[in-house]
Amino acid sequence: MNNPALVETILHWTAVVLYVLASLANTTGLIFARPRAERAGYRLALAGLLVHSAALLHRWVEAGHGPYMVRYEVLSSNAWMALVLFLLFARLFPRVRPTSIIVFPGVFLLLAIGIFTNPEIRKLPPTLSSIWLVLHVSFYKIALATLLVALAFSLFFVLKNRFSWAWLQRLPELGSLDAYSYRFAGFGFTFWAIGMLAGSIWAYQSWGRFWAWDPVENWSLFTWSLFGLYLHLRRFFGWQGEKAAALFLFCFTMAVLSMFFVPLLSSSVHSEYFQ
Amino acid sequence: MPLFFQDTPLADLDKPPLLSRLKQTLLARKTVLLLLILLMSSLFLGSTLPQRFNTPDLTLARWQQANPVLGRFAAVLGLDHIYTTPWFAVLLALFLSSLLLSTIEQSRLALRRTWGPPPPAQHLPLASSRPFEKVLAAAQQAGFRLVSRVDHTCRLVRNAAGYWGAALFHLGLLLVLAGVLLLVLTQKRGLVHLAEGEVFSPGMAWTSQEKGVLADFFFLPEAVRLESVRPEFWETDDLKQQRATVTFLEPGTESTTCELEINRTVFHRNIRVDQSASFGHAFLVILVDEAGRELPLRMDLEHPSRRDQASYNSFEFESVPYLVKAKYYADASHRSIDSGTPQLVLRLDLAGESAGEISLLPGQQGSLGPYTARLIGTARWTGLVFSDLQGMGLVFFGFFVIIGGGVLIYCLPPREIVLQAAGTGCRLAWKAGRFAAFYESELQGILEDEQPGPG
Repeated sequence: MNNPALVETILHWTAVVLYVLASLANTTGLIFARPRAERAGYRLALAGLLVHSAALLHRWVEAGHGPYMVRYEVLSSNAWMALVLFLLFARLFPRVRPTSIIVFPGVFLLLAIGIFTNPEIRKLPPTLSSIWLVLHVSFYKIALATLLVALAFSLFFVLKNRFSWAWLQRLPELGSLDAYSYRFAGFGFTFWAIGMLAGSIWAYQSWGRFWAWDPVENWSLFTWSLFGLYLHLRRFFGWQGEKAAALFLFCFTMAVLSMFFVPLLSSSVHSEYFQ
Repeated sequence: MPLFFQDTPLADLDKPPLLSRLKQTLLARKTVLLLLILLMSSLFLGSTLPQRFNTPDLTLARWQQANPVLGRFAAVLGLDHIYTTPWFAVLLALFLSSLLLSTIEQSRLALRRTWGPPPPAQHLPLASSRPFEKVLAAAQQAGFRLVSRVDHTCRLVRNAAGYWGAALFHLGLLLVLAGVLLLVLTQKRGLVHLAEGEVFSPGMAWTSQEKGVLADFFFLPEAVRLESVRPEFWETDDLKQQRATVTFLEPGTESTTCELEINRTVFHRNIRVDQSASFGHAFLVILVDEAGRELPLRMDLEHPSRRDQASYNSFEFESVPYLVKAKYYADASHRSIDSGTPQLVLRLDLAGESAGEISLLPGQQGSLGPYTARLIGTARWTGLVFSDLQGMGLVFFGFFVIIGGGVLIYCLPPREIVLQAAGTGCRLAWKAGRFAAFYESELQGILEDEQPGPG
């Protein structure tokens, strides 16, 4: 095939289909206690990841820069990072595995939404040719992946606390779900901070200013402070259970708004890439 | 059956009552909560209300007219320049103080946890029939290090460095915030748009300027001349690189010439010089009115983003009663993103009615409403950023300290065991600093025959 865009589209759609199948198999396995289906879900997710990696590599070669220039690339690489980190967590900490019920669909949704945006290759502007930019976007992707796992634990907590469905009873006990959510939120908070600081160092290098107070920067700092508030309330004011889960859901919503919607504002320097 | 034991609170040092109360206030959980909420409120207001530094004067004036009450309120509290108000600096200072005290407290705690003695015996909730020495050996084999031994009670720690994670993370934040506070107070930053051959002398007005709460007007140590502007483009017309040559004109000494490009910073006499990404053409037009008077006009327009697209701007001149609307193509034939023959299209507007329009190439002239317009020359212009910033070193250093803290927190979660001989067996407690549920099985490996005991 000589059409690079077609190759990439086929690879991306193949990955989406594999992720959808993985989500179905995995959800079936978890809800109906079918370990074989769950295992099949993981195999399909791994196969999807391989194809997805090939699509991103192909894009990298064609564009001449990493996948962080346009929304199409940003969403696809976010999905890739979320799945890679989840698989790593699941390998290291098997108790994290049930969160796949949220993470797998999250991954295919991110990727599928990305495919429907403009896939036109844009050349890298000189201000984006910096290792600090790579660090900046990478840490935000890691933060998003960990927050997705924390989201799953928060949702599990709320569901298990309110319903007595059989599959919920196979999840870790309520206290553990609450603690996992808290810890992964802390993980996200840490990497959000690092991503934000790497961004400010990049801005200093590119524009001679570390902080421009533009909407993306402001809302990112706002979201990070909100997570700080959440952690502080949990750590020192004894917030836990549904109250903490509700606050985390609000924090996560703000994180998604800050990452994916605020950059669409034309008054932000970040709109240069996220279009 | 709880596996955990609790840390006993740290004893405070003797301090004068006022200092002690101040410390308690700054460390109080409610104070930290309040500071966080105030910071978030400031950011929210800064994002929703127009700010002077990123809003044109005319737009700001219109907003103030449309919102007279809010406008007055904003003017009194400085809500139209939140990040350079004294109260925002005070808020940062309070945050900094709270973070400093918190870092000290956490460091003391980490110090005690790393090398401290075992807690009192009544805190040991587990009993095992395995002999003390065997459990001790199994724990050491599992990676636990014996840090203290008091009589027959041992304290063993695995990944003790992990206890320093939170302290380092907070120290990193402290350093970053200290650097930011220094910048907010003292920064001087000026942007100037210059055309090739133009000189910017000390004391001249900047195109835009940002200065810290304690900073004065930003004077350059000497005049600077823009020699040349050299943009480079990708085949897609996107900007590949933007370069410029500037000369610092030092009276009485030899001038210094510097090459600038985006992401390549130059320092000259402690002033940082950056190449801005903005550039374009400055058009020099002479209008001749019916009385024969020559009216020189200069119009700086941003470079178009594509060869077949124009960039636009509107200008108001005291000598001309019309609004001058300008359109600029990078190349008259629209075939190149960068050529020596830019095209300028001018239109005169009066109360929304067009009074004339003309397209000009360099050297051409023609009729424009009641005037004769002549494009006598073009020159490239670009933006140059000069800054005098103190504090970025702290921000950089803090960044690495934060990463160090994050690594310790998440890669080296500390666990500890307190072990005490009890008859032929032993009593013990186990604790994980973080992710306890992930490591509970570790204890089972050490205590193969462990049975929970009373208390």
